[in-house]
Amino acid sequence: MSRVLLIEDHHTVREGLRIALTRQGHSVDAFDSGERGLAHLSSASADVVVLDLMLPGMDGFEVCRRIRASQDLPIIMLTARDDDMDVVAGLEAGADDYVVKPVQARVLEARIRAVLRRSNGRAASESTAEERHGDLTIDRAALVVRKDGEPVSLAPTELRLLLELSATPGRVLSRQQLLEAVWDQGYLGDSRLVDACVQRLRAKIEKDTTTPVYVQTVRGFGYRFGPLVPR
Amino acid sequence: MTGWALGLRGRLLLAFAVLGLSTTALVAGVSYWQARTVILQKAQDAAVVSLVDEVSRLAPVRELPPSQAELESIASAVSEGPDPALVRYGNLSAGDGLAAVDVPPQLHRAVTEGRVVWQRISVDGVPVLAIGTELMADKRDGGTEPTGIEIYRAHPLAEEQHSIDQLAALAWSTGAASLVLAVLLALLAARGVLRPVSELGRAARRLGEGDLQSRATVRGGDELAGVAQIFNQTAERLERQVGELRRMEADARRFVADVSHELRTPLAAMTAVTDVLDEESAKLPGDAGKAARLVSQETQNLAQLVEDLIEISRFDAGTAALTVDDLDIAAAVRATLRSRGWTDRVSTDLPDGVTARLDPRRLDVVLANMVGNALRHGAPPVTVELRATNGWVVVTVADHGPGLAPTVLDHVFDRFYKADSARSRSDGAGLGLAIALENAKLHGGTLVAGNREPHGAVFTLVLPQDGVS
Amino acid sequence: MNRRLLAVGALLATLLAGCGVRPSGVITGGPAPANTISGLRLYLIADGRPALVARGLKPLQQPSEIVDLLAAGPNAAERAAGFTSEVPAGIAPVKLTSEGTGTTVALAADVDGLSVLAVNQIVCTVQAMAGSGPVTLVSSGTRRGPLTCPPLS
Repeated sequence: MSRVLLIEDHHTVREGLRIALTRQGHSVDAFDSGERGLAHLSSASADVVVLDLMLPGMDGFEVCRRIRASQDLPIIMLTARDDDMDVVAGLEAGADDYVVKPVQARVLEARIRAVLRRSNGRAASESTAEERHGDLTIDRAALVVRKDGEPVSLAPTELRLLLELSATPGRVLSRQQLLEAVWDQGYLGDSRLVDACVQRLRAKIEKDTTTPVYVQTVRGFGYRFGPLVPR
Repeated sequence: MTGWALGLRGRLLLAFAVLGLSTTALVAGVSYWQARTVILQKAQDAAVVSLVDEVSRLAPVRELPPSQAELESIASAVSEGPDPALVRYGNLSAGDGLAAVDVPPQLHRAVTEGRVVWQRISVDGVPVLAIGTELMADKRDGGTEPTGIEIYRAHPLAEEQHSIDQLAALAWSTGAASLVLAVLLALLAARGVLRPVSELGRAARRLGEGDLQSRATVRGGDELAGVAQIFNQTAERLERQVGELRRMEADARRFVADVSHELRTPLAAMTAVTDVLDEESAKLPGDAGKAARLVSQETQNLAQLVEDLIEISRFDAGTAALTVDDLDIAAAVRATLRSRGWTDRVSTDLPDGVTARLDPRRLDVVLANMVGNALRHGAPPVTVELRATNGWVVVTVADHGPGLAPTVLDHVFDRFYKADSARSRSDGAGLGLAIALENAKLHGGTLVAGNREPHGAVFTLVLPQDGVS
Repeated sequence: MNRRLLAVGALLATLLAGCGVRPSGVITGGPAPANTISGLRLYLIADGRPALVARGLKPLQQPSEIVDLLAAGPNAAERAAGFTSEVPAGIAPVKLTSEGTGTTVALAADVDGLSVLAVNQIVCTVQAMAGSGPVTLVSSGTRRGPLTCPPLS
């Protein structure tokens, strides 16, 4: 049983989703605007946020950025198929995943479960020792990443991506492999999820995002952790 | 016939050349002919007058028939000039540079008529005027009578020939100059006429190629300008009408898109609870359960239809965008089959290592439509084959059903086309294959439908490996 | 097109025919020039017609001698040139008398026995000698004329 914060302005859609998610065993707090949702978050907690991008007043992107500024909880965007640019903007604003409306309850449920799995860190490795990669220290047990000794605040998906990549330094992972491993989506997933997440991750761990050291792009193939050039 | 193949420029040139030449030939020819006649007439008259004058001033004849000496004295008297002469009487003759055989027989016959006669003849290519006369005797009553003495003289016309040749040369060069002038004028006129014609032609070709704003330049007020004006009016009307049609079509499409968007919100709410309906329908008694299942099923169909409508409007509006990625096609095909639970119903031949830069979601849509269509309308076994050739990925989906009728083949990608009018709409007629085709085109590829031996339909998807350029 | 070519060809042929100085047929001009005859005029027969001959003799004593010369017939040169005479030698001696414009020739022989050609010979010769007046031939009661010389040739 997890707590879902649902922000959706359309009454019927909100109600439908609330019924469906409640039946799946979630406790749903539904709000019709970003402001109310944020207000709720400041006093109560949630495990996952399901956020409509098209909101009156404060739009979904802004809500997403505000949540990201204070918390690392997973965010799933609700979007329409023809809002391609919105998807990219939402992912850049910090969303972990998105679903296209109209969405069936079981599809949304699968996504929620996937993001929750990432934040619970159940798939973390058993190795206890801290790994050092240049200035980065990755503690796979405690799920803590430090840069120059300072803890880096990573959203669950970003953390999962970093863990996945750093598990096999120097090996190229395709977007599909990463989608399958991190988002549980594979070939039918949207590779922009990976690209947007890589961008956010780089902004947090790289010194210079234009010449990334840790998460490198291999054109035509995918991404690779390192190799780090010895100093 | 050849006149028509000449073209406008050729015909103008020919007309001008013929006109120029015939005018020049007429003018130059007439004046040449006249001048020639005058020159010859003058020369002939002078020669005849000179002979007549000399003959009438001869010493009186003493004896008839004349003695040879007398003939010779006459001959020497009339051949004092540069021209040779001959004097005859019966069988006798006396001459200086001229023999009896040199006298043309017709002239000889004509001389006895009692008048001065002459004839132009050609001696070794040189024109010569042969003059002949009979010496007459004055009679006591003032008349004359023939004496039988014939006097001939030859006057060369070489000088006249030279003058006339010069005249001819002048006429020829005048003709040549006029021909050149005519050709130049023709070229000038052709340019003046043909430039607007070819401009009009270019404008018409552009219009034919679809540039509805193509207009011809209207110059002056001649017939060509009139044609250009009519062309422009026609093009304008065409542009207006086509614009109107396009506007109406765009309006219709926008209406469909707007309606679809409006339907989306209620559908989003309904779709969210279809699972609830499905679960609860089992517990509902009788018709209530059936009704709940029916609502759930049709909600999903309606949602799919609305999504398809929105998708096709995006293709129509040209706003459909590709999100390409490097894909392992075999894996992508397997994922599509797996996600729809078709893995066991389809036999596959998917070699590993075939990659291409494609939009995974759109590829999934195309593959799902191809396979779904084969499963719905064809007969098993349904096969999916993957091949890579020369930078192209080829995916073939075949079934063993009856295949597509020729009338169906032409329309299989049409929107809402129903192969069988008896079949209901929910039975597959929709936008699926139309969207699949649009997606293939968006990638720079193709999707074609066909039949194969011995029977069965084949859909072949061809996509570029290195993405759209 | 063929017809047009033919027309052009015909035109060219006509033009070329008028070029240069080309041979012509016989052209007839004014009357043949005339000259005087200084000798005595007689009319003998050539080709069955009276024809003019001239003899470079001194002027005659008597005009009638001219008929005697006729009666004497052609000389050697005239015979060689093909001249003959039908005037018989028996008509001499002759007497010429002028009556007004006309001339009377009295012959020694019978006038009726003379051929037409012979009469013409005498008339033409006398007219050439004495003037263009008509000539009457007489002999012992018979006469022919007045006559004039027929136009020659």
